Amino acid sequence: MRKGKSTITLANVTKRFGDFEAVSDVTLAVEPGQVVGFVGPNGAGKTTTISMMMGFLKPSKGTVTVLGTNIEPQTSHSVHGSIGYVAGDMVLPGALSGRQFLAFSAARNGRIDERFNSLVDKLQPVLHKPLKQLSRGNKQKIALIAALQHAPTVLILDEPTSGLDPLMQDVFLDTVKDESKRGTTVFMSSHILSEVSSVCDRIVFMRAGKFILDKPVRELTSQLGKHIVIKGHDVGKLAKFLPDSAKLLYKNANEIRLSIPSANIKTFMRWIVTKEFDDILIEDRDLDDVFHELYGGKTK
Amino acid sequence: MMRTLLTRTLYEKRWFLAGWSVVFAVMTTLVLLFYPSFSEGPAIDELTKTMPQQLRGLIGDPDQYKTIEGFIASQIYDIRMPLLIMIMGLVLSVGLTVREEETGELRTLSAVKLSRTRLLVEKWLAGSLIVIALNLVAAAGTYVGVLALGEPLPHELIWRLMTLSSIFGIVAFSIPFSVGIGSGNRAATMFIGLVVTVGSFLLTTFAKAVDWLKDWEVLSLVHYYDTQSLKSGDFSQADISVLLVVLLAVLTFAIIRFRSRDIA
Ligand SMILES: Nc1ncnc2c1ncn2[C@@H]1O[C@H](COP(=O)(O)OP(=O)(O)O)[C@@H](O)[C@H]1O
Ligand SMILES: [Mg+2]
Repeated sequence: MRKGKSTITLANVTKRFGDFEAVSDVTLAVEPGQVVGFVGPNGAGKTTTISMMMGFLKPSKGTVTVLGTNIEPQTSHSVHGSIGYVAGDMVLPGALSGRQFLAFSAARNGRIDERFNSLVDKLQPVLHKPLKQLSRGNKQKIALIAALQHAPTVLILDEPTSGLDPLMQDVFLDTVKDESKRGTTVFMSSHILSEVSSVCDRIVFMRAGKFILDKPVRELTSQLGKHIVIKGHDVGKLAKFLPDSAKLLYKNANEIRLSIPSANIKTFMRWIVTKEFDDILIEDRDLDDVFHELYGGKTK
Repeated sequence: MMRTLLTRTLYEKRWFLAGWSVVFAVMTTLVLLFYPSFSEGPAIDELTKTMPQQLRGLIGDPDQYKTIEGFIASQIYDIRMPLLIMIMGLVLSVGLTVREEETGELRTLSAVKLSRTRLLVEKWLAGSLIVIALNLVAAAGTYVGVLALGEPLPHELIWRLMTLSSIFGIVAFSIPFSVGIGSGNRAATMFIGLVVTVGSFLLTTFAKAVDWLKDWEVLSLVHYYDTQSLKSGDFSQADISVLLVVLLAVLTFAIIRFRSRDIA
């Protein structure tokens, strides 16, 4: 771990609630500008980990740093002005209007007017109504503006799109992409792998309190290979003659589905063109499927 | 209004303040409307004479009702004011602490650049200002009542009572507030708040009649809130010191705990 340079570090961090260990001895370094997807099933310990990065919870063991500051409940506020934080289940003060809540956040963390105006233009939030009257999506827009109006250097997002409709999810993820283009470091949790894989360049996978995988997205996708679906009269009988690299996933008389590593696609194509079929489909694989395959357990 | 947590909290509590203002204004003015029947009618004398000694402790010396000063000090400020203030303080402290933590708002608040100590202090200041505001309302209600009766205004006494009641109210609010923010535990906050409120009143009222309770009466918070002596003398420095020591102790506990604890 390159100390003092990484934007976020966890060093042998453990968090216990009574006898239960929610996070077990995890270590991580997030480099400036990285966009990390933090994935794992419900109950994996993602929120607990993020809560220690924010200083809501005190680690039972180990140390957490953000932007070089050792994060403890009593010290974390000193970096909060450089962090944008959004959680999917975040509760905003219901009696305040969006404008009032954003004014309060601005008074604490700062505000860059241009940025605030462009966010308002882009997201079209409801600013004048009490927050308790807003829909989930509209509340989340306010939370996102609060997290971004001060141009933070780090974004810490805990399942920020959960409960949003698909349209709002896209708007949200687009905004996060824009942020990362500016060089903002992003750490974003999700229990849906495909969501983060579209935004992130690195995936950390957590299960049962441990980080069980930490890889660049590029590497993961190249390992995945493709799914190939071949359709046509009697193509089912081709199943017997498949090259070794192809794995048969499904067949009936008129359709077969195979999985092939990326490296073997060319050879496979040379072989298949010599056969009779009506249609061929080459599909990219969903990361979620791969996790089912690799780790048995569910990611959703 | 949104520049600090203190002003924001006062804004968020404006309806709370308005509602309790009505309670305090109505209580003070209403109670004063009974003054003529107390001071003029012989009924109260008859009543106390026939009462068993034990119960007489609950209503106090009948002679003190005969002057407007005595009536204000005993009937408004002696029992009703501290009881209302303590109940209000408990509701207020739960609202400012454990309720916000249960909903998750406290995490949202802790995500901005605001230290734990400052968060606590600004919330406490907001609560204390509400206590003072309600005491001003009660004093105003007392003025209105006295004016309506056409009695002379005991400025000095009302000012003293209001000051003592404000100090007492801040302490009474700070106890459950400190438990709430220091522990985040609603049950503990309610328990301590109710024990202090109910316990104090039972102790102080019954100690007048029950001998063996007299030694324990110093444990009652209202023991340090003596309105009778304010009629003639000045503030009891000993009483005020005890109240301030309690205040300092609970706030110190709260700050130490809240600075390092987990927020649910
Ligand atoms: N305050 C707490 N007390 C006890 N157990 C907790 C507490 N917070 C979380 N947990 C437990 O820790 C585990 C991890 O929770 P969490 O970090 O919220 O998971 P995730 O965000 O990945 O869904 C869960 O089993 C949860 O029940
Ligand atoms: Mg979670």
